[in-house]
Order: sequence, then C-alpha cells, then structure tokens
Amino acid sequence: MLLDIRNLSIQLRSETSYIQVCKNFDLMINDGEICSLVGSSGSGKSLIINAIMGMYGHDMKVTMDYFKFRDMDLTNLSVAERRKILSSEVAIIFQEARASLDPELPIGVQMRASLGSHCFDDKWYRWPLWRYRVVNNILHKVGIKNTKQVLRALPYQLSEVLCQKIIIAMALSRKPKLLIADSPISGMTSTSQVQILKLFHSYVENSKGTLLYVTNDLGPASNLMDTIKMLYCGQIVESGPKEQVINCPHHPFTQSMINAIPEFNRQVKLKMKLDVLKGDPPEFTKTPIGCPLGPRCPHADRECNTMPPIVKTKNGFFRCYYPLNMEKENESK
Amino acid sequence: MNQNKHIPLLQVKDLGLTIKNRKYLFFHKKVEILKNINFTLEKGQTLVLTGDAGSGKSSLLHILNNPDIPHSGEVLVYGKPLKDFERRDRVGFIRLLSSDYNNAINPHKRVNFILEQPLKINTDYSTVQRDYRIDKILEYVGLSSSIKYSYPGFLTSNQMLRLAFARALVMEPEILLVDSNIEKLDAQLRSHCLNMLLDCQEEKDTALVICLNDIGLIKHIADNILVLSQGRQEDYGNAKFIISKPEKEITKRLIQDYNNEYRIRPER
Repeated sequence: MLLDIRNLSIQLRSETSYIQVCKNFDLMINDGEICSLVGSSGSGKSLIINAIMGMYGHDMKVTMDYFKFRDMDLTNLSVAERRKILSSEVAIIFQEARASLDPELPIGVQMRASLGSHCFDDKWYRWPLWRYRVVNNILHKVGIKNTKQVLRALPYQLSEVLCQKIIIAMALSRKPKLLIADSPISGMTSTSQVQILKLFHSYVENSKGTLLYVTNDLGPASNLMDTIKMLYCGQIVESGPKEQVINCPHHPFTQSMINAIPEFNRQVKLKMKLDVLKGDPPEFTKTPIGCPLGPRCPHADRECNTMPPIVKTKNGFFRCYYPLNMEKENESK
Repeated sequence: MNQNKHIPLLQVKDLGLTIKNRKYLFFHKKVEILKNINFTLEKGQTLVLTGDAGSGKSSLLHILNNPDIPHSGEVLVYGKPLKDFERRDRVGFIRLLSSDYNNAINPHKRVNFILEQPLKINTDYSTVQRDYRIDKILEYVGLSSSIKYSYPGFLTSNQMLRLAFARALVMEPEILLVDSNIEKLDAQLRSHCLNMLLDCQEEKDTALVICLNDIGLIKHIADNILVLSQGRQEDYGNAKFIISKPEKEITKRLIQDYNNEYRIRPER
C-alpha cells in the first residue's frame, strides 16, 4: 500500500460558519496502480488533492483519522512537517498550467530549479551539466521539437498546450514515487494526447511509479486506468475496476457520464440530442438531504431522502437504493 | 435570371494571412499563417475546423469574426464582401460564442448590462424594446428573468454557460462561431452545450462554425469538415465521407491517433 487515507473531511470557512465540502472520504492506492478520480466540475476534486498534499491556508480545515505513505505514519504530524516529507516523493500536475509557472523566469531556469540534487542517479563523473541533459531529454519525450527556443522563452510567449506539456515534463523529470495529475490532457489534440498517455504508461511500467489521475471526462484515458472512483459532491458514489464501471455502471451518475460521450452510446444517431441530467450540481452550502444526486436523479423515490448505504460488489462498491444493470452482473456470475 | 442563381450564406475565397515576426529594429521574417482557404457555408449547416495545434484554426475564426483583416482573398456574405458591410449589420449576423465563460464574461457588471450592451450599440431600439428582447432571450435559453439583476459570480456553471449563449444570441445571428474551449468543459456541461447548439440550429436555422479536436464529437455534429495543417487547407468535404475513407496523410493520422489503445469501447 503506497497511500492510505481514512475518513478525510474538509471544511471551508465562510463568513459565518464552516461549510462541509467532503465527508468520510477514503482513498487507498496500491503500488504501481493507476487510480482515477472522475467527477464533474465543482465536485471537490482539486480540494481533495490540496488537502492530501497539505497545500492549504487558514481558510480550510482538514481532519483525518489515518494517513499513511510508504510505511510512514503521517497522521499526527503538523502540515509543514508532512509537506516536507511528501515534497521529495510526490509530484503534482496542476490544472491551470500557465498560472502555475513563474511569469518572470525563463522556462529553462524554472525546469532546472525544480531538479534537486537528490534527483541525480548516475556515475559521479557525469555530474557537470546533468540538469541540462535531463531537461533536454524529457522535453523531447513530451514532444517539443524546438527545445532551444522554448527553454529561452517566458511563459506568456507559449501557448496553453505547450505550458501543459512543460508542467508534465517538470513533474516527470523528478522521478516521483507518486504522480498526481489533475486533468493533464484537456484541450490537447489527439496526437499529443496519445503522446502524453504513452509517457504516463511507460512511467508506471518502467520506473515503477504510481499515478493518481484526476479528470472530468471518461473518454480519452479510460483504458489507461486500473480503478475508477466516481466522485459527486465530495463523495465517492461508485468505485471499481474499469471494465466493471464502464460496461455495467450501477449508479445513475456514472451512467449519465457515460451517456454524455456520443461514441459510448450506440443508439445515438447523427445530430440527435445527448441525454444529460437535469439541473445543476448542488452547491456545497445547500446540499440536499440524503442522496446528493436526489433531485436530479431520474429513478429517485421517497427512500432517497435518507443516505443510501454502501453496497459491495465484486471488487468495489456503490451507494444507491435503485441501482442500474443489476441483471447484467448476475448473468456474468 | 439573378434569382435562379444560388447565393451561399458564407463564401470564403483564396483567403491568406501573413504576419511579420519582428526581431530587433530592422529585421523581420514573414510567416504565412493562412494560405488559399476556400469553403462555402449554407444555412443550417455545421462546419467543423480541425487540425494540429498552431495550424491556424483560431486565426480563421478571428478573420470571420473580423478583428483581423485578411491580406489576400475575401469573405463573402450573401455574395457581398464582409468589409463592405457596416459594423452594425456585420455584428448582427456573425457572433462568437465563447465557451470559456469564466474569462469571457465581465464579473463586475450585472447580467442585464451584459445582455443590453450589444443591443444598445448596434440597434436603434428603445429601452422597452431592449427589455422585451432580453426577457425573450432569457426565456429561450432557460433562465428566469429575475436573474437580470444579479452578478455573474452568483451563477452556477450551468447558468453561466446559458448566459454565454444568451449573450451570443441576443442579436439573432445567422452564423454562430464557437471556439475550441468547448472541449475543456466537463462531460455533462459539454453535452449540454452541444444540445443547445443543436436546438438553436433546428429552430432558428443558424449556421455553425466550430473548432474541435475530438473526432467522436465531430462525427456526431458535423456536416462538413475542414482539415488544416500549417495554415494550408488539406481536406474539405462531407464529414461522414472523409472520416470513413480518409485519403490525405494528416486526416489519416488524426483519426488513427484518436482510435488509440487508451480509449475503451464499451460492449453494448
């Protein structure tokens, strides 16, 4: 077990009180696994990552029962101490690429600065200029051709997609034990998407890393993932291996996320309306009583006013009173 | 005689755009961003622009929306060059829908101001007429009219998307340009946005020009497709035909890369 978090809860400070954003959140990631968190925008994905890494100020209150990372028990440490331990072994790819680069320094300087001396693993006589070599190598792997120009440029001179690639290169060049990627391939063309996904795959296979892949779209990377956890309103509503979740989803929210992709649904003809859930995702200040999907769910009934219990399946679980596709699973048994 | 001849809604002939890449004081390098672009667009049709990053998709959109002026060739609307139109008329029938709603909508102004401003500048309507128009467009988009007096910060993401639509549709355009930020939205919002575009096309017979990279979405909504590479027009024609039987190198590569091993196909 690489990362083990039990009962994480996050509260955000408002003017009058604290707002509960996430409650009873468990996350367990095995060594060499690609785990993915999938949820619509505003479901608290990025907040959970920030809470895990300890990147928050006084406006956020985080409590957890148990936090373990590679045989180290970090439960009772302060945030600063925990951050110090995690920083050398975990790398993050943030959502807004250009915003997370320093606007005043050239790309090359920033990339070399992120390589600490503990990243060096080579013969001692290869020490001179090793940072330049590593940076050049990783940029070629990411798929940037004119490296000389890019390394000299400032972030505002590059396009958003190039900035994304540079952030990915920066994270991978440190060879972290755990890589957290927050929607890394959104807005890219299919050619560069494949390139980045291949890089992630080889990172997990060859250098024995672990990937936590956070995304809001099941389409482009669904076959890369090992386990899928569907997040809705700060709560995991369904979890399981990828074949199970995509081929027979039990929770209505998972079904709607799959239906939103025209290719996944064979019945959709040219220019037909795609079926989506009605209404908006609820705000955290006014979460509905009971099942959070309640008011938007097409199958909801009176029973859904209470919190649905966890129902276990073969390798996962879901939370719903009226699950879909139950006959399909019985057949496969 | 003249009536028998069919005039398309939008026609682009031999479009070209070059920029000067300046270095120091006297040196510059000329870069061709677009070269020899030809296409036509009929009423109620969808044209999708695809290509690699830096192939000139958004430059083409900028020319159609007219902040940029092409250096060669011309854009004809109903057989009349775009530059001969008055600004008021031009803005009336070509509008840009910016699906990056967080950055495209001014957070310091109320919704009423955001929707009223294009009407105030480009039409001779009185205050009552403008109010009526805004109420109508809000109803069409599916927002309550009480939302007029709130700031965009109070709205949810779904409502913001509807507001962006309302802003694009107040002038009742005949051509709607959609930028490629539509792909960055999450799956639910994206299909919501596509549904609204299809609705709009069905009811008002609007022509759409969309920037997209996702072949699966292109298959679903496109009538015609225009593939760009390095500013050159590589492939143009019926979308279904081109995607099922690609001939050009770049189209083949784009489709092959889309059908990669990391994309799962569910059994249905």
